[in-house]
Amino acid sequence: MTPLLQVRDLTVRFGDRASPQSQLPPALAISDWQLEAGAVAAVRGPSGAGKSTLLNVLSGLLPPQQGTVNWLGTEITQLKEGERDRWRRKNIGFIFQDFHLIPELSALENVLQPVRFDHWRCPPELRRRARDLLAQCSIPRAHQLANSLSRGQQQRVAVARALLKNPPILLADEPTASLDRASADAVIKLLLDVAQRPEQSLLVVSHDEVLLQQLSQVCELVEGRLLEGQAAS
Amino acid sequence: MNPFVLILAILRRHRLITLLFVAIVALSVALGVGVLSQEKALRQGSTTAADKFDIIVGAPGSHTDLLLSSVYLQPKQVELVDGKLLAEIAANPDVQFVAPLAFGDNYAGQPIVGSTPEFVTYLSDDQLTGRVFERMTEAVAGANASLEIGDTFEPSHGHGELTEEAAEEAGHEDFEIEIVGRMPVTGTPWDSAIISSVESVWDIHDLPMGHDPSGPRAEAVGAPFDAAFLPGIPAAIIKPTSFGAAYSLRSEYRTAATTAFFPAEVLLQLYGLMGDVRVIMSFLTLATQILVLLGILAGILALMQLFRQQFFVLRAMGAPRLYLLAVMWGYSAALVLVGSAVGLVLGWGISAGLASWVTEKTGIAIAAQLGIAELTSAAKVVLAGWLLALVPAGLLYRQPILEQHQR
Repeated sequence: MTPLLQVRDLTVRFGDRASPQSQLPPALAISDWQLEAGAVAAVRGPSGAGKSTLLNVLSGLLPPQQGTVNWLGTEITQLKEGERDRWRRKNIGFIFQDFHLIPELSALENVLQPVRFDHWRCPPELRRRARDLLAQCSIPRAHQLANSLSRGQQQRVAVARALLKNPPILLADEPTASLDRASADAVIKLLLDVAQRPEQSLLVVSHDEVLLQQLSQVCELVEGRLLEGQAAS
Repeated sequence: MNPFVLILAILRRHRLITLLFVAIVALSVALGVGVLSQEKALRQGSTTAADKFDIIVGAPGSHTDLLLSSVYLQPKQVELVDGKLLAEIAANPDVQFVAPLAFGDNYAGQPIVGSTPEFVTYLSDDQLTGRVFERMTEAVAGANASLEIGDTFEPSHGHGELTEEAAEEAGHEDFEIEIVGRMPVTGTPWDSAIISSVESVWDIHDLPMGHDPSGPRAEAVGAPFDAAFLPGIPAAIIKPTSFGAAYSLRSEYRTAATTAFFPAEVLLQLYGLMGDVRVIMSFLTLATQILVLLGILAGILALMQLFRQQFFVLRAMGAPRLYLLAVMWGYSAALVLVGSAVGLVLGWGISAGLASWVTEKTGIAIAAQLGIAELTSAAKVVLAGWLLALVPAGLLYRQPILEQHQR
């Protein structure tokens, strides 16, 4: 069975581009990491440990100086930028800490935003799916402007947006960090429900212990190095 | 790919900045369009006003002053030419008719011009309401003059509107003139004038009246005049029999004692001057437009910093670089396009307002229009703006993804 994710000999350094032989310690150094298909995993760690950098590398936003990242048999580190964009559109659903909805658009228009990268007019089946997703995410009024929604509702719209194209991989960067406990719990429940779907994998970067306790695999990232994965209690 | 939804969202989010950018572009375009449109309108209006004045004859001196006083009825001090010339011109076989003009009086600020029934008929294309004057005590009112048919008035000396007291002092007492006809709108300063017989103007000023006082035409108005009884005249209008005759007449009466010219000659010189002013104004406008576009470019580059996080998120969602280029370019292009469209209308509006003011002040019918030149002027701004819009869009296109991310 092809693993969901295989990371090998990964090194990411920041600093002066003019001196690639910089002696600064790497922001990320992972020799070998693997997740199985359908994994529901989390990475946690202190601030500055390299969690966001890891997500950027895994999603192809940041090419590493060294190493490979292989998702479901596709080595994205070998892809050109345009190919990585296409791959990301098809395979990745991104959920951000601050939701990053477009305030002047309705919840529905926000969910449909990724469709506009490929289509002039939104296909009716995607529009229907967007409405269904909003209903599943407990957003009662699809045409309500994003900036009039509560923070919890905004994050649920962001989850719906990430799910629109049915990507096999969901990446979530601190999805509950900007929410109060009740809203955070609602988003956690939603994410876990989503993760129950067959062929759906979820990788979360989070500090939220409530969320971390409910995930099957939690890895610790310390100074750019990934410690042994552990099963949740 | 459809960037429009996002472009509209950005326009809405930054509506104040958007309005400011649009207003600045609109003003710069309006300036260019206004200058072009106004210059053209002035040119057309003044040309039309001089249409009926084929050849002007007067004493040697400033052609411009002669033109301004005879066609545009502007008070100018012009020399008089010997009245005998009138009879001489009338006898020329190349002349269809010649009409003397006599100025100097007014009624309630409206100029009174003395001329012949023939010229009034010609000037009004024979479309008079009522009839043309047949006696010295009759006159015809211009389309916008304040007098109606049947009204009577007493002429006053001078050109300007006088106070009641001054008018009484300046008045030609016991010389009452009745309005017997009204001219149609000609789009010239003559619309505000009162045209009486030239004989009445001469008579008021105690000058010979153009006819033998002891002869049968002593009280007649209009041609033929008797050379022995003609006073000096400031100007005469010649209607030639043909195009070729016009040139021959112009040469014939360009002598040491007289001058003759086509109004178009003088207008061309004036247009040349106006053209120079237009060139200077156009240059200033172009400089303004360049500065405005560069200012907006700087503004958009600053605005891009606000968009950075949003653009990073779009890339994280898989947006191709071309999509971001389209959004950024589309946003800038929309500002320039809307600004130019508003500027086009605004420029035309300003020009129309100015035209209306000039018409009111001078009586010359001036109509501001949007033509190819104005559209081209606005289109050039749009094109330049669209090209400049490629700068921020291109920078964004080339920017590495993570530089868009505020880490």
